[in-house]
Amino acid sequence: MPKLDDTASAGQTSGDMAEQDSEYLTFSLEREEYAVPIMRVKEIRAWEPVTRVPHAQSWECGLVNVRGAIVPIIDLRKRIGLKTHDYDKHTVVIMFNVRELGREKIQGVVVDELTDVVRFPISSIQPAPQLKKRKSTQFAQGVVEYSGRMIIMLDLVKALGIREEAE
Amino acid sequence: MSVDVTRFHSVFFEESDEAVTEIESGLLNLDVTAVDSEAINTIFRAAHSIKGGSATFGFQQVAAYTHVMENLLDDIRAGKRSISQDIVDVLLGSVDALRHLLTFAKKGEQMDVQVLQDYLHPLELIMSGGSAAPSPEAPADASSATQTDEDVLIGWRIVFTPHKEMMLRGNDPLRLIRELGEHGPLEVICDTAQMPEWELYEPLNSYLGWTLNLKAPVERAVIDDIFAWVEDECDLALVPILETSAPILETNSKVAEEKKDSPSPSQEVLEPAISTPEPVQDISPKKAPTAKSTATSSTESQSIRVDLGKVDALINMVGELVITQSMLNLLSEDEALQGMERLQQGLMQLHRQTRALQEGVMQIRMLPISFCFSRFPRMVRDLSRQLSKDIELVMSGESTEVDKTVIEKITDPLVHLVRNSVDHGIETVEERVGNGKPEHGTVWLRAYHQVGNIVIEVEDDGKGLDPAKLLDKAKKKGLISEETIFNDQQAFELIFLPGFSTKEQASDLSGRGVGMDVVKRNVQSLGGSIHVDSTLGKGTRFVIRLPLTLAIMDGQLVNIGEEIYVIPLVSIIESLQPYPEMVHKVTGTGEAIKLRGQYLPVLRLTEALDAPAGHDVSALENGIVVIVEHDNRRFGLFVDDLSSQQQIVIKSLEDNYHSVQGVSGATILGDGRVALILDVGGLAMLQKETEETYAQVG
Repeated sequence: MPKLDDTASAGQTSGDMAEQDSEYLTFSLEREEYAVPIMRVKEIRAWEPVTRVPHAQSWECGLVNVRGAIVPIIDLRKRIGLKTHDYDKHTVVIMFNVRELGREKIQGVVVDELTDVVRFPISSIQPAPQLKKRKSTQFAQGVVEYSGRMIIMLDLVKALGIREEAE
Repeated sequence: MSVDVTRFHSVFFEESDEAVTEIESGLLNLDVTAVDSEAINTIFRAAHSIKGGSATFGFQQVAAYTHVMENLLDDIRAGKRSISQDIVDVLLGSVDALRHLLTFAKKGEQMDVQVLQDYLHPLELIMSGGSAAPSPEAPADASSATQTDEDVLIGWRIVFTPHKEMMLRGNDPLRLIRELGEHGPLEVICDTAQMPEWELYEPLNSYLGWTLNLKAPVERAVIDDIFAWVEDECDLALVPILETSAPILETNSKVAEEKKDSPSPSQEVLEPAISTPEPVQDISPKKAPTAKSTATSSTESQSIRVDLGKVDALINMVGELVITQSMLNLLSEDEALQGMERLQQGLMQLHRQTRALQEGVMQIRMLPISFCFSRFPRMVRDLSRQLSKDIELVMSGESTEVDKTVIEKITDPLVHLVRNSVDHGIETVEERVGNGKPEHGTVWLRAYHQVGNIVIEVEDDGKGLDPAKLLDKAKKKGLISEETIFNDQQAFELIFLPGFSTKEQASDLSGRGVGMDVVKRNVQSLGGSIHVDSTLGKGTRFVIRLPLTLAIMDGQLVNIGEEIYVIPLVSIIESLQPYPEMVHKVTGTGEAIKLRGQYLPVLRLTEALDAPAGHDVSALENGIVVIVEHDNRRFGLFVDDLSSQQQIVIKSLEDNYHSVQGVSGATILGDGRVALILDVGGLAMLQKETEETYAQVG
């Protein structure tokens, strides 16, 4: 079993090293574009009211029903320390399949707007510049230059607060 | 043909466990004075199937051991050996040995040969003591021989019992035997024991079994190949015959003599079976009415083994269907749709059918409580012998059905309670006679349904609990303060306190540090309750009340601020809107209401759950106080308003999230939204904490 976990978490952290050319879903947040591996995305839903959880973290919006499963949703703006902004008709929730401590989980993330599905080789990902002023860079795994745009690779493990087994 | 058999291992172990239990219960129910041949047959068949399976999967130790058991049982079955209490005891001992062996096999380990020998010894003693005894060393040799590879292989003993339907699938046992014969001299011994009465005879079925002694040192794979196509359609046991294990052959030939020797008769019997003789049409119609043996076998309920995950997925899906259905129901209340009678009728029907479907699906997870009760006859029997007490266990309601998870989780607490009754409850024979009670004590174990709950009672007619002693002890241990006044009932409940154990010296059987508090905790974690009542000198009775299932429950929807929460209906005593004069402020800001002369602390849920306040409910008299009970302690939960009561499907928060204090789970409401289920136990703790903080501040 531990072996399986290793590969899965490796896939989450290092952006699927094994694949040469991978597809990514991109979305915008405060006019910046972020990318996540599309294989991690379970589905995309429009924003809908959530059930608040008592004593939750500030960035945890609450729980929604995804076909019978109780799924927690986080606000990515709050999570990475950007200023909040009212949800509108573009606001979407991206549901991710993640693996935590050997178990499959579903977690949702609220983002401003979906932008694109792009394909680029892993080798084109460069280390993220460390910008002290910007809290958001600590959730960046790297950056990619894609047809003139700069796309930030989101560190899902960190953003979703996924606990991993101690190495 | 190499088929990977390891994937069948779990099925084998599951079936073996069942078979072992069957042997055990068969032995326990056996009346030595009037032996029922069908009972012996059942035990024999169970042992036989373990043997067959274990040999097929290569668990040689298990196979060797069950082989000896089977020999003994076969002698009994054939009437060559009369059964005595001693034999039953030895066989019961062998059940334990078998369990032990199976646990080793499960781990893929071999049992120590010496231990195996010790287990085999009593069986061998009986075998050698009897009349038709094969040499006692034979089974022992078989076991050790199967382990040591150094011994020279001289042949194989194949016990081949086709299932009834084998020929219907186009497989011919005769062909297999012939094929086997091509590899060397073959001794064929036919077992006709399963042949039915002539009028029940079904020519297309195969009723025969064979013991085939192949006297040629062929590879196992050769034999496996021959039987590869029929391995699912027969019981097959392969035992290597080794040079040193000659006695085994002797045993077999002995069996052979008993069962009519030489291959020819077997073929004679076989021929008509295969060639579909004339009388078929005449016989088969008569089958149904006259069938005595079929009648008994058809009472065994048919079942299939299904992965629990699949069942749960199905339950989930039906849960969603219920939600969708209630959503449709809500929509249908729209005025525009009121006139559409056929639509309304259809929705009504959908409502009924979904409920029926939900109930039916929930039934799949329900098992009779006998799955848990079945271990107790043996346990009580062993314990009472060990303690030299004369105890009878009377069980009722074994067929009462309850959720599988509940059964799994209630078993340990029940074991503890029954042990307690046997060990502490029932007096010794001398004491009983001295007190003018019947010599033999009785422990009752009952199960029955009561309004959506299952009630399990453990009662004994032993010495009962002494409230004075209990109080004295609790005070000595500092569990309660000196001046507290308790009535008898409250004194009895003291035994559930952590750190309370009534017997001065913890015995070997009960009181190993695990106390009644653990029993109570387990019961509560299942959403149940436990109560005790007792009469000094007459006996003690424990009553456990559990929900039938952990998947659905009755809930009261309440509005807290702008949010909806669910309070489990079982915890609610009553709900009321207090008058201003009932409300009392206690030391600082703690609140209480005085209800029928009793002060009940009140927990404001908007504060406890940090919920945004709705309309103005600052004063208790503007909202509703729901009185709940946990651990025999009552307190009030202050909510804005009550909403509907409904049956809800319980979902775990931990699947995708984590647990939250004061919340036991979540459910999905009719409109598809998530509502949290309040954990009354957790809130009770929270309430106590706030009370204490106030006390400190005040």
